Amino acid sequence: MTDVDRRTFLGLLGGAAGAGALAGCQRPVECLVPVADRPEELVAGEPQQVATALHAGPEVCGVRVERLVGRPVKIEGNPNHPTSNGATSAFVQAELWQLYDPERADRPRHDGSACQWQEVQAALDGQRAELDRTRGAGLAIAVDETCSPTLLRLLRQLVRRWPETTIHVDDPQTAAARAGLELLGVRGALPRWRLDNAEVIAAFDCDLLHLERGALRAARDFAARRRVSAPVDEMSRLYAIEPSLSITGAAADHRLPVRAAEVESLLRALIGELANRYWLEPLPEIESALRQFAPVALDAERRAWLVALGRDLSYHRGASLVAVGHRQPPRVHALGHLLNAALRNLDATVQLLPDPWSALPTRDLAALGDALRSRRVSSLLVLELDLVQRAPLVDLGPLVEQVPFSLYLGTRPDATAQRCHWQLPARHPLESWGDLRSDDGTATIGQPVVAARHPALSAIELLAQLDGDRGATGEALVRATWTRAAVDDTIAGGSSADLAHWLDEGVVANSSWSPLPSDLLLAGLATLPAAVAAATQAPQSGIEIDFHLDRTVYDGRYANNPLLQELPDPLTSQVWGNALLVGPALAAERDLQNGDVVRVSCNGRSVELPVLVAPGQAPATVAIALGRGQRSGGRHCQGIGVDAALLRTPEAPWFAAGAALERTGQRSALAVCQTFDAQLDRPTVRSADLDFFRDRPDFVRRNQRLQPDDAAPEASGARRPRWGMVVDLNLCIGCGACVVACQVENNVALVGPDQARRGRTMHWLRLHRYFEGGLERPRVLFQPLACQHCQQAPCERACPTAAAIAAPDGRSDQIYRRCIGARACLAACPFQARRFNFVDTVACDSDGAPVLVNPEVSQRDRGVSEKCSYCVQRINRGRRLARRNGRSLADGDVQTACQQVCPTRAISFGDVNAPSAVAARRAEPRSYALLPQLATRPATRFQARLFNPNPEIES
Amino acid sequence: MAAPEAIDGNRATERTWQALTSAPRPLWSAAVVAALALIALGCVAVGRRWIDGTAALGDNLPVGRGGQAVAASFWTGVSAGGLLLSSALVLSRRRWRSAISRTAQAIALAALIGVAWHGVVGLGRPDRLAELLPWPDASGLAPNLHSPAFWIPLVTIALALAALLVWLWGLVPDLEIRRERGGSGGRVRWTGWQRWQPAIAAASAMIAVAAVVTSSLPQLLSALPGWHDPLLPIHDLARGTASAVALTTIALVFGRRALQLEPLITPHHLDRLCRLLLALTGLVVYCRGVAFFHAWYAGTFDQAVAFDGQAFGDQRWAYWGALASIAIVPQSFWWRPARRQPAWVALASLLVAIGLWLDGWVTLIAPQQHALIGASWGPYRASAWDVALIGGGVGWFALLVALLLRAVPPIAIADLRHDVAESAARASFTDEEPTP
Repeated sequence: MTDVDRRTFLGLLGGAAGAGALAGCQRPVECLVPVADRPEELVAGEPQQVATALHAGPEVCGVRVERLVGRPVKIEGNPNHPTSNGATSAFVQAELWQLYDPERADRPRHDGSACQWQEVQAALDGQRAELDRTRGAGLAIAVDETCSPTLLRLLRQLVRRWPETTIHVDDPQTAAARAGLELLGVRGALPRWRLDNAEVIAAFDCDLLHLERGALRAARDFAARRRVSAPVDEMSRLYAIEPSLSITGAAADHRLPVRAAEVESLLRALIGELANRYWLEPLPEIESALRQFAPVALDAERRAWLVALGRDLSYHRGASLVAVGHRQPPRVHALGHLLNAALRNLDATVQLLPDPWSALPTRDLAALGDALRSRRVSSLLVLELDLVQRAPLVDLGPLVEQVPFSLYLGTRPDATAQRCHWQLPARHPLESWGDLRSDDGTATIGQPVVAARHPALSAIELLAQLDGDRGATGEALVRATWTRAAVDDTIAGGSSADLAHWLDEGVVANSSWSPLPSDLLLAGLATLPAAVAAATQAPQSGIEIDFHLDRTVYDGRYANNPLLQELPDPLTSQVWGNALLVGPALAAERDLQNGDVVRVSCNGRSVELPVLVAPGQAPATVAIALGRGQRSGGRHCQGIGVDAALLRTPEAPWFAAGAALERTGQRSALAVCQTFDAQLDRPTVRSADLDFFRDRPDFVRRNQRLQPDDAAPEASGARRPRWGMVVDLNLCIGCGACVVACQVENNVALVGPDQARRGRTMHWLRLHRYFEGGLERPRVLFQPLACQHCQQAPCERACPTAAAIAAPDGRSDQIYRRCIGARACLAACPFQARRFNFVDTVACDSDGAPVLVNPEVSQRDRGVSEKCSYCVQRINRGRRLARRNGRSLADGDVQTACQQVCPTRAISFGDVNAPSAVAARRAEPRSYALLPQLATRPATRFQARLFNPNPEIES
Repeated sequence: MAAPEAIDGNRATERTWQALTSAPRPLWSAAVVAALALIALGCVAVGRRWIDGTAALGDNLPVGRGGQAVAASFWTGVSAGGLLLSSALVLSRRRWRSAISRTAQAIALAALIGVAWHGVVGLGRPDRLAELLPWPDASGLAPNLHSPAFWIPLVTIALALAALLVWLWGLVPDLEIRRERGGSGGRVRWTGWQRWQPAIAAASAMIAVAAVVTSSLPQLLSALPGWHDPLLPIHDLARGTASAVALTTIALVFGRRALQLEPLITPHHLDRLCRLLLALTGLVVYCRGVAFFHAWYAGTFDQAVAFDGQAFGDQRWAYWGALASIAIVPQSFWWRPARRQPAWVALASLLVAIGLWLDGWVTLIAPQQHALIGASWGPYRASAWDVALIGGGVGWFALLVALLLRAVPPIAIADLRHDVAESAARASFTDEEPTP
């Protein structure tokens, strides 16, 4: 080695190092085979739309599910479907979480331990043999009121085979309406409101824009008559008579807060007032019925109110509507029909449509409770219905437990599942074949948009298996239904070509029901039964307790859905829980503050829950939302809120008098997103009465030295596109669909109850709610507020790292990568539109289970500021598609997520420098920018809210 | 308290030397231990902050910048105020300055660690601080020079350099103490040093003012009522200087006691500082008063809401607590005995410092809670970790002050000797009474 000199050594060293490096560069020996034949129609990165339908919240909604690389990422309304018209509710938006829920039931269980499907089969076989022997005696099937033709067909088939079977339907939406018609001798029918024909609407304890069947369509039709683009335009008028503030009450021009029990007497008083006035001109058939009503002694103010309402209704007869809500007893529904008939509204604003359940002998859940109690049920089949939680009974649980054979089919391990011997995982509607008819009869054949995550059954498959059809698939069952000559009495089936077309469209052609003749109803009204005609109700005293469906988790079926748990209740802004809503007067009388825990006793039982002072709550009433406080069913619902169902009885499921409140001395931290309800002297929601607006069409611009447009001339002039948004506050009803849509579309993080309590919710789009006037009878103003995309944005100026930066198309961008989390932008933004990731939400993964995430939007790290981007990913997609088709962007090519879901079309978005809808709306006299004195020149504008009060009613 | 002894330059040198070399009184060790305990607590909180992220803080929406921002701006004010105080003493050539200026400079230096501590902890992603480096990234985006938040770290660095320079500059001749001790002293005539001293003081004063004004710019330039107020920088400056004076006073009382410097740091010095504190807190109260006057007299809605939010909102305890301690406690300083009783002076200064802290709290937090959109108003509560981090900041500050008092001569010897020599030469005292 001595003859190796330094140079040689270094040369050798270099060579060795190079050789080593080259050795590291060799190609991997594995053979990779790229996909040569990609599945047809699947273009990576291009979303596919699949039409189907969902029963979400109170109604069936036709939807199109957007799939990216085989994964559903967003649900949009199906424009072909008459109920949705392309819009959706918050419930529909949140259905995706129901699909992705990592806690979904994944395997069949027998008495709590996992079992094999074969064991389920064997059990079903055993039951079949047993039921064949007893002709179905002891078999009870519990379902909810979903109208699925195939399910109904299979149920009919079962009843034919086992005639002793009882079918129990949980029908909170239709029970009272159906019974109301039955009181009048009309069977097999359900009423439906047509708001597109209604100029004056009186909602009697009826949240017809949000929580009633057909609310989506109602909201849409309502909004169509409220759109005012010029001072000459007309507006419909809405009256609401209700105990606690609802979405409909908030939208109303006049609202009368009354006890729920008083609604009936008020309706009687109204009929009594009208029956003796010349202006009513009723149909001759019902004159004698009307004559049974006499004016009632009322206090002067209420009487004046009712007379004014009656006059307004009568002047618009044929175009007015009296709507009675599902919380009211059948009698009140019958009274509503009488008034509608007297106002000649039948067939115009009220239609009778066939009741799909009439072909089956059904009973309600109370009857099931009785049957369970008398041990007449030997086998219980529960199809996707949490009856233990939902039934207005003290405790159905132990009764269910003692049934020898109980089988539960559902997606989550809720209270009922825990009580049943057999728990079978159900397919989510987006994983299964099915069919649904909406409240107007429009049918949609549902198709799976994604393969089932776990082996599971749908309700129709289970029924078919019980019936002995072992190999039946959902698809075969649905096809069997729809290729028959007559699917049911109202609709014919089609060929398989028809089926393919219907699947593609998302709607079965000509499937909406034709209205039943109203003569049936008139005949019933002519001979008005005494139960309806005579006032049976004694005036009640004491505190009335009202139960209502939750505005976000509905009847509890969405309780484990964090998207909806974290959706602030539009009226109370509470998230993650419910509270006892107490009116300001009662709260002052009892010295109750927000968060004081009280013990509410009613019907001999009591629950403890925190108080939330709710403006607009009728005097001497309190209200609780149902569906919360579940004891099982997932980590997002257990222990969140309080279960009010314990206070209900079958006799008084929705309201009861004689509630007692008792302070416990404890306090509970409410998760309330909006703690301040007034606009003070800084009107962010401009509003006026219609007459005022007609006198001064430019009222939003008066007394403002600085107008949004003249703050500074555009540097970029007429650059195109320049994106802008206009939100018509006159159309916004505050349903919250936009908030959830934005969250799903943009991967906006969920923070959970603890962080929400600390004021760290992340919604890019927040629904602000203001009360005006006295807190006893406030006017409610909603404002969806997101980033205003200022052309001179304070946040952009404040950001030290240029993470907040102006985009050339008029938007204000946020570059997450550059953000150091200094939060200068949060303090700078005068609209407080910026959100900050205090918590690491991305890391909260779900053990390899697929996560609901939109791959087109980056997820944000902890410590990063974020905000609305005007759905930049949708803008880019629109631009891409336009370029591919060789054209420039047209108006309507880009829809933001909030715009697309809005049931009332309150939001418009587009290029403000083009002749677009948004440009036209910006030019309308009601348009204004927020905080124009700051000269930030927002790209988002609002349009003032208008009220159309009756001049005869003193406000 | 030791009776004031007549002191000349040599004796002063001797005393200072003793303070540096002999063992301190137990008070000093106790202070260091307490400071270390606070730091340990703060470090635990930093760990929590590291694990939980900003969720560990009380910050929320609408209060995006909560307790940590308050603390950072407080320490900025203290640092700048300390620098201003020492510069003002040098520039005005007050004859009582030498016992105070070194401590004021130590305060200015020590407070900077609080600025860094709270500034970094309050950031959402401190690991991405490199984004602030002034050159473009791969996509050509560079930091935003229009943003006040970009300039705040820069002026803080400038403040740190200035504080360091002033401290070192004053220290250079004092490091000769070892050589001069025992001799007659004054061999070296430090003429150049003396000539530059006022220039450095003036420049550092300007930097101090710039630092405070810059750190109040994000608030000044925002649209929030209560922040967007032309008086805000004056308010911040007055608050910062007053808190620096209060903390200097506490440090002096502590130093004379712990390091046996009673002959050098006399009640007369405390008296002067108390007068200064009285004037400066008066300025802070004046700023508060103007805000009230605007709210009441101008009738502008925004100002009225801003005042309402501060005085009667969630943070009213801080508002009235601050007012009580800033407006009332210093009034005792109108009485000469109160200004000269070290225990009371220290206690009063502590109360005033806490009051000033609360004043900063209410100024920063209440307006965020009562912003322009009514629906986004919301509550704010600092978390326990916020409090621990603030305690940690105090611990660092106290530790550094204690160490600096021991590490270098706590009295500006050269200044003192120079003044003594000068006054001896002139043999006429223009000040009220003879002082060291």
